[in-house]
Amino acid sequence: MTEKEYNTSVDTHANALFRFIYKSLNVREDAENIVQDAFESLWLNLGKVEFEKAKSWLFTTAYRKMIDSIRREKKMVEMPEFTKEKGSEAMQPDIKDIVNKAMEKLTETQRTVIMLRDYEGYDYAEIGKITGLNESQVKVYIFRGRQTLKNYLVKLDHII
Amino acid sequence: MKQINDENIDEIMFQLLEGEITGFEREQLLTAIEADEAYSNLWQAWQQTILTPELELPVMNIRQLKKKTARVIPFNFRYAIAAMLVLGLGLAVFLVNQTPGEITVSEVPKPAQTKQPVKQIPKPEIKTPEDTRVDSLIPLKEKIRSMADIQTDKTNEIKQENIPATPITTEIKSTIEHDKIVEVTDTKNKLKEVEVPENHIIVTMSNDSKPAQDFKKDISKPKQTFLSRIFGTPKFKLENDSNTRTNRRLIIENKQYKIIAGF
Repeated sequence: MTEKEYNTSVDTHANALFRFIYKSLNVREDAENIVQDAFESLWLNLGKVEFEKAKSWLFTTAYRKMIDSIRREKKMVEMPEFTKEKGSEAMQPDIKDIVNKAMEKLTETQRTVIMLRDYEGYDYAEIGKITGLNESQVKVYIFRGRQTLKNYLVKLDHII
Repeated sequence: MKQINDENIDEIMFQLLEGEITGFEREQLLTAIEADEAYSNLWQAWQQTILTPELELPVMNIRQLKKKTARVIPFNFRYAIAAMLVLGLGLAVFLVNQTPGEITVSEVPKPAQTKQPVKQIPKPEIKTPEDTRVDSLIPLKEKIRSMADIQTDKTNEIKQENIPATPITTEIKSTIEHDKIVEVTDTKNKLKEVEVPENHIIVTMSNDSKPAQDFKKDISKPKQTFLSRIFGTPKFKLENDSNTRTNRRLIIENKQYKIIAGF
């Protein structure tokens, strides 16, 4: 990868990577630090990483740094602040808010694989590379995560 | 087609959601799900588990992540060689076309060969033995010696500027007549012809430097230098020139230069 391709990777992947981390941590500063560390690591390994694999490499690095951060600080993922700011819709929360609330019920791995699958469009193999799981494990994590979300939504639907 | 029941409904709906069931089988399953209201509600719940990108999420300032890249100009050997050839050719043309000014030694006008007035040296009061004055207490021998000293000292007044600088043995005839220097001449070739009077003093002057022939040998074999290869081997000539002190001048010339040096 060249310096120019590195800057292209910044333009293309930085915001997606930031949203992925921010969605998991819900702390802007921590998410920014992790993204910055990931890109710094990419810069240091410029000669080793191919441009076509830069996105996967960035998400893998950022995910590992995020796990390390969570383990180090033992932080619990909370609901994103931007969803709480919608006070006018508190009485009639839309499906996105409910899904975000349901995401809290997932484990860290389930949440990560589902976000990588839905937000970034990775297939099982790519998610497995990022998270260090095999394809079967990824599929199982995604199935159980979606099942948890579905159960939450169905249960909430009954309550409403 | 798979049969839908309460045990496999979640698995089939997950496969439908993930795109693992496609084509005709997918159409049949979707038709069966829509036919059952409970399955239809369940399918809607499954569909809502797919996360949609949230564009309202804050974005990061990516400018701080970028690196300033220096513009790299690739080194091209062809261009470098072409540039060297052009520069070398230009330098060669400049040197060849350069016409250096002829180096000449300005001829110093020789002072006019006018006879300088004879220096009149006042006669010393020599007390001769015939001097009968009472105050003369000098012995006779001393008087004679003092007279001789006065006369011989006058030979030191020969002007050195008239002595040639070349290492040529020169004989100078000095004639003293009645307390005055009469003539200084180069008598190298005329010495034999001159009859030296009895009262004349002959002075012979010489130095120990190398004779001029050795010097001629040294300069006749110029070293082959880089410039001499370009401009040709210089030729050295020695010519007679009455305007120089040595009556000779050195001429060095090649294809481009002609240097005349007189000394």
